Order: sequence, then C-alpha cells, then structure tokens
Amino acid sequence: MIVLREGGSFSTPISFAQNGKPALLIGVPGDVVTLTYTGADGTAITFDSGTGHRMGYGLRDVALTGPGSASNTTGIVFGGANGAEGIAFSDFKIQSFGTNLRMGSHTWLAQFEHGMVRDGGVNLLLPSGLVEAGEQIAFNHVTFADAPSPHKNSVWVQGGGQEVVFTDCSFDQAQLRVGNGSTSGAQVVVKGTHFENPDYAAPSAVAYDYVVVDDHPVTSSA
Amino acid sequence: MTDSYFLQDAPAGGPSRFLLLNGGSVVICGVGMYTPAGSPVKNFALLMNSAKVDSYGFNDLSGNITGAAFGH
Repeated sequence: MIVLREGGSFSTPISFAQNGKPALLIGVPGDVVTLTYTGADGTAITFDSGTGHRMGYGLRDVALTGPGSASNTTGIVFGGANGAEGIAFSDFKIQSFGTNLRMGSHTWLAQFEHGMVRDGGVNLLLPSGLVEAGEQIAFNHVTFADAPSPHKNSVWVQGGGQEVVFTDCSFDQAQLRVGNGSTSGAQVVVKGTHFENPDYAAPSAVAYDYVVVDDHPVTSSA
Repeated sequence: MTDSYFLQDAPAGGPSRFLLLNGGSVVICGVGMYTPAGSPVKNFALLMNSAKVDSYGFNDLSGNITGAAFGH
C-alpha cells in the first residue's frame, strides 16, 4: 500500500506488474492529491499484478492528469500479461490523456466507483482481442465527459466476451459505442444513467449519437 | 438499458436522434428523453440492418419527436 500525502509530477511510467504483488495507491479525494504525468508517450500507471483472487487493490482518492487528449499517452492500464482480477478504483479522476483508461488481458471482477474520466481522446477503451477479460467490469456512479470534438468512440466497449455494467453513470459530451464493427460485440447494461450534450454550443458538439451499437451477431444489449 | 435519461440541451439545431443501432438487440425499459421545443429529434433511435429493440415504458417528456420514436 502506498499512501500519497501530496501530489506531484512524473515523466517515467509507473508499473505494478509483478505477478502476485498487487498495489494500492491511496491519496486524498477532491483533487487534493493530483499526480501529473508529463511524459510525451507511454502509459502513466499500469496495474498488471495477476489473477490470484485478490480483491480491492488499485486506486483510491487520487486524481491523475495527462499531457492532453491529443497526446500519444494512456493514463491507466489495468490488466495485461499477468492480469487485474479484483481491481477496484474509488473516488478517482483520470483526465487529459490520449486514452484515459484501458483494460488489458486477464481481467475480471473489476469495479470503478464514484469517479470521473474526462477530456480523453478516448475516455475508456475495452478493446477486442484480449485474452480472458471482460467478466463483471462494473462502473458505478462514474462520469465520462468532455471528449474532444466530435465526441465519438469516447467510451468504447469493443467486446469479444465482455460484459460491462454502467450503473448511475453520466455520459456528457461522450459517446458510448458498443462493438468493433464486424469484429466483435458485447453485452452492455446501462442502468440509471444520464446522457447529455451540455457543451452543445461548441463546434460539432451536437453531431454525434449518444449511443452507437455496431452490427455484429453477438451485440446483444446496450 | 433501464431507468435512464437522455437530455438534449441545444435550443435549436440539435441532433436528429440519440441512438444509432447498426445491429444487435437492445432492451429498453423505463427510459426518458427531453429535447427543447426548437430542437426536435426525428427519432429517439434509428435502427439499421437487423437491429432489434424491445421497448417497455419509453417516455418522451418533451413530446418533440417528429417521426417514429424507433425509426427504420
């Protein structure tokens, strides 16, 4: 467990990728502890510590800021060669990366609670082609917002054995897309969730569909 | 998709729809929407190809859809 009492900047990616050694970062909520990634590319933080039925590690009470939505950066990757079974984020914010939050392989039972994911070129990417990833990927009271124009593919559940649940979430200027063309589909559940275009006056801010489902035989619910 | 809300803020010149379903199957239950009087939508959702919708309790709170709620 790493307790962060104050924020700071870093340019070297941080990786918790030792199998069987999960890490928990704890800060202070409300942007009091903000970590700013200044690298030009790469992934700011990677959680890839395995699938040993360990629950609850991850990130709490931390804001993570990147160099911009047009940059070739990723904020956080959860999963990978080792995996991220049981990872949990709470009271978090991730913003201003090329991709803010991305899932990797060997990931299931992941919980994201009371957070904000905003101003990312892609705010959330659950890519197709992963290995053993996608069971119970749950977002509770998480806001996805402020995707750059044209606001498309902002929360992208590409699918392929993925089941994703959005409960009491908000999508503000951020499109939810389910599927990856003819490659894959997913089951997505949306409950108690709000969709809005509050920045409608900005250029091209109304020319996007709030939800898009691709044409694939297994795309079953959105 | 259950108990969710689609709010369109542009007072004029807003989008023509909220959902674009190029395929797949969508169950909609207890979903509401609102768009201002000067910015009607043509459909709540546009269904393409073999997309399917089962809708229960859809509620247009603005009464401002010019076409079918679920258009083809």
